Amino acid sequence: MEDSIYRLRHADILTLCVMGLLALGVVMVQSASMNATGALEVRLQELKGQRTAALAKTTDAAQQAAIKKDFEARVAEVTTRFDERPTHWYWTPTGMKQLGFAIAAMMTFMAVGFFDYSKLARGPLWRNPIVWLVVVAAVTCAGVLVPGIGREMNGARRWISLGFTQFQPSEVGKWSLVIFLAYFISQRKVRIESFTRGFVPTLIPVVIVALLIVIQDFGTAALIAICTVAILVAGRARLWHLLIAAAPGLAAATWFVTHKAYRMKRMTAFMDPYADPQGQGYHMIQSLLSFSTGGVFGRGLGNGIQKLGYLPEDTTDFIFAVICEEMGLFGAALTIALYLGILYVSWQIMHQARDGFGRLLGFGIGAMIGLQALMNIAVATVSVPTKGLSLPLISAGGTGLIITCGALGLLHSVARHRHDAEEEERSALWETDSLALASAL
Amino acid sequence: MPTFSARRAAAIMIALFAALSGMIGRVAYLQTFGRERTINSAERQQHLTEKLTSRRGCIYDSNGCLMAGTIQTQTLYVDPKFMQDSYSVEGKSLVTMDQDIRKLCKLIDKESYTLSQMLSDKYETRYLKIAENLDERAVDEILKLNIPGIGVQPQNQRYYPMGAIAAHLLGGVGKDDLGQQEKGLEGLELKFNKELAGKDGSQRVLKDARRRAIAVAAEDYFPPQHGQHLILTIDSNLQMISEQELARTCEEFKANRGEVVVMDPRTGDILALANWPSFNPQNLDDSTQEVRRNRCLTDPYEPGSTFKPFIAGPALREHITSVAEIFPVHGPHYRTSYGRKVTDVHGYDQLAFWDVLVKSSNIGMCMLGERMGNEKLNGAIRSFGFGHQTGIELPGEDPGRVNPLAKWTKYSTESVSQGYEVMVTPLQLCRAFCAYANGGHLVTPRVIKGSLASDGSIASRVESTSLQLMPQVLDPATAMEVRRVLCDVVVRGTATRARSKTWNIFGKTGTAHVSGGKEGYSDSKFTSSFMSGAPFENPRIVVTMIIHEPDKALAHYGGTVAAPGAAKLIDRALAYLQVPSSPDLPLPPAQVAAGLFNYSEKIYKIGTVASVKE
Repeated sequence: MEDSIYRLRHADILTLCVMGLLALGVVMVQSASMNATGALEVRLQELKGQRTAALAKTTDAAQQAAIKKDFEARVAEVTTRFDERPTHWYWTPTGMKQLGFAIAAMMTFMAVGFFDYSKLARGPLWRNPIVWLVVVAAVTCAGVLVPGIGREMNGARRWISLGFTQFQPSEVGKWSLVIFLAYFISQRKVRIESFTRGFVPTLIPVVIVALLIVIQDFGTAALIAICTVAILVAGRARLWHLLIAAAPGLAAATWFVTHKAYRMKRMTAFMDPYADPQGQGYHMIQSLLSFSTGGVFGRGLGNGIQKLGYLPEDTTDFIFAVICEEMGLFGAALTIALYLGILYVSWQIMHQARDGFGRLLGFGIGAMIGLQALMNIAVATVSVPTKGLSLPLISAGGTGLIITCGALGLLHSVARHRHDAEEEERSALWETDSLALASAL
Repeated sequence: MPTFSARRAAAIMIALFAALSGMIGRVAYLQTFGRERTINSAERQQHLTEKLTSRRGCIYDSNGCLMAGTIQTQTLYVDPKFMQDSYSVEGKSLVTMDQDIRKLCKLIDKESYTLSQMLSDKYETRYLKIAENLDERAVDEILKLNIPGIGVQPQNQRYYPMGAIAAHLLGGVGKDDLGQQEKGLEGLELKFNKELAGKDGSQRVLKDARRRAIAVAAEDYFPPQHGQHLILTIDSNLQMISEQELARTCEEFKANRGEVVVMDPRTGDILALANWPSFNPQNLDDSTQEVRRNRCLTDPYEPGSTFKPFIAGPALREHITSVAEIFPVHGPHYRTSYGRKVTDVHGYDQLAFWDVLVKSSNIGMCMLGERMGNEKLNGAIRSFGFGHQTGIELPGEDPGRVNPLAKWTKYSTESVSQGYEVMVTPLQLCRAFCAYANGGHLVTPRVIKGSLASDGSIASRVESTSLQLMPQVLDPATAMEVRRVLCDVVVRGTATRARSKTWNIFGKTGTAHVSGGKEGYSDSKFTSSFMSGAPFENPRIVVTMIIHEPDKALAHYGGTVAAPGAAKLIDRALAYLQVPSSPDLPLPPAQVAAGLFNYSEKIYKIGTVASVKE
């Protein structure tokens, strides 16, 4: 086997999949936002432009105040009385933003990919960038909960405003934990088999960050929990340790869900969405209607009906329904195939990485992407209860996109910096191991 | 000790792989079999099937004047629940809603308080009508307000620009069983309902969540087929003249009711057809079913003396008698062979057959009837179409009543000769009389000249049958002879008050006792009628006016009640039609003149005798 060919191939498959998903995301976000809401955004942007131009013309404070007042009145009027529909194609602000973010995300992906991931694992604990990343994540996650810093959108307090843009600390928290777990478990000093000296210290930061996130975003917290378990399982933690740790976690989660009636309702609504079609079942019903409206062949790109105000969160959580409505089964298969491509690369890397950190990192990042995609699609197809999770690399959103691409860049880096002479032998060993497994299966 | 278990990782990865791949299956299921459960609610939610109301066709008179039209008005409705929900979803307080409602109320002339009350009372209804008969400008203004939950529905409104003119012909419309579409209830509106109504269309509109229409696919658009327009033979001017004269006559003599039919004898076109009392077709609820009966063709009556020409004509054609023949009437009383008493109003000793018609001698007609016999009498009146429907395109036509020959008795001979024991409609009478005006042809009356498609192109054209192709009931010479005899009715006969200064009118009066069923004929109730045509030389119109039960204290003879009104009608109608004035009447042949009662040549000069009552 020619190593060089393989080395290139895995990294390139990953790049292609990421680019494909980002491109699909831009197209679908643009398409989903081509509705009355999108047209309203355009109108508001026009008004803002007019205000800026008018303000620039005058220096008189009274006049400026009048202009501002007029602007507010017009915004109020436009938002209540808006009755325009898109009649021709144009970039919607959401679509435009998504394009910009996708380009930035792709650049992040490439940049991180050139950087050697193993450098992250060097140095003592207190000077290690990964540890600091977790600290930053914990602080920002806590910061979101402070009213002055955190910003509310759609009834959930999940964002921190940075002035020019907003970002979602839970995204940072999610990925920092994946990297941290891979790093911490692969440390020679850490003995994960030991409950007190390996398992518990590993779990402490995870629990802290997850607890901070669970308050604002149950879906992400659940995702972190499942992914942590997956990494610990793959990282040779003892299964009974996991059971001990999982028991209170599960109990807490169960209590969290059941002690408030509305959360319980939300969890069970997916069994029969039509029980409460205007309330809890609404999102699910609208998502189901998207699949039936599109059918196997889809209504054609841009021809979706459900995005015209019926399907909520059509550019974010339920974008998969829009993809299926407009592109049919082909769209669904394409999207899922791209995720499977990332999973495949991650599978290959976790066998061929030069050290334990690389393997766990490859596995963790792949698992995280796969799990998040799976959960989002499962929600969109009403296979599990509704959770507020985005479809990675596709859903509209700036920081999520860039951070996810940063993480995938690490995967890329692991794929590129695989081989070291000293690791070669062991790598061969892994291959026989996996072959044995494959034949056993 | 390696820190990574490939077996465990592989197991997790394979599980993820399988789960993600499984999602493709889940999507495929939702798009195919799972679709059956949701496709209907998707359809309900995303599409709106709208009815496209067709427009009812118009009715025009022969001049192209609109007699019945349709205007489209808009009905404003509101969905109170949707309205309030939208205002609360958009985060606007109910104050904004109140302001909008106030603006709306200004446009529809309603108290905003009442409307707000109504909206909150009927919060749960999804459809609330709040204004009707809005014109397009008002609707534009209202839609500009852009209030959520408000919509308009077009509604057709029939209107009759001529008011009550030709009410019995046109009929009227009402709502159908669903209360949506207009349906013809009477007259032409009923008879031609299918043609006038057209066919509703529909469209399936794709709408967004705020119920705004987005698009209509070509295959979902079924345009409405608008109704056809009818063009009548009626001349609305003649119709108005007829109605005025009829109403004037009926009111003057305090009659129970009256009818008038005006026909063109050359084609059979009905130029005017009226009943008194009339009604307003715009609002049928104001009138009773009785008033709305088009008695010109639904109610046959016993015509009396007006019937005599239809026996005289065939008798002359068969040479059973001649106009010069002297009848020994020995009036005023006559006993038949079996002892039945027949009475004339005036007693004459001898009358030429000419004068039997002119003076309307019952005895003379009885003698002729006895000479003809039942079979010939029956044949004579049936040849004029009595006892059969005329075939006019109006609903509810009665065939009248002529007994089958087997049922005729010896009494029938005299009764029929005087115009009893048969029942005819005014329309039948008018149509039969046309034979004397057009040289002996029995025309088919018609009111429809043609129809136009909704775009104005000709849909159908009803050509009037050429006179030569119509059945000939009399030879032209006989028809001409009787017509000349009937001219004397207004000159020196029973209807001298109907003489015109300008045109030679020919006609026949009738004063019939109204049958009271078992009690026999009434001595106080009469039907006074006048059947006439003009001008003698080239008859342009035939007019039949029938006045039912005039007040006996005022007058009851056909010559005094119906004739002046009919003559006035003819005068005005011929003036309107710009018919040249008539020359002097030709004198009766010398051998006839010799036998005439109180004969004088001077009297025939046109314009010399001014007897038309102004």
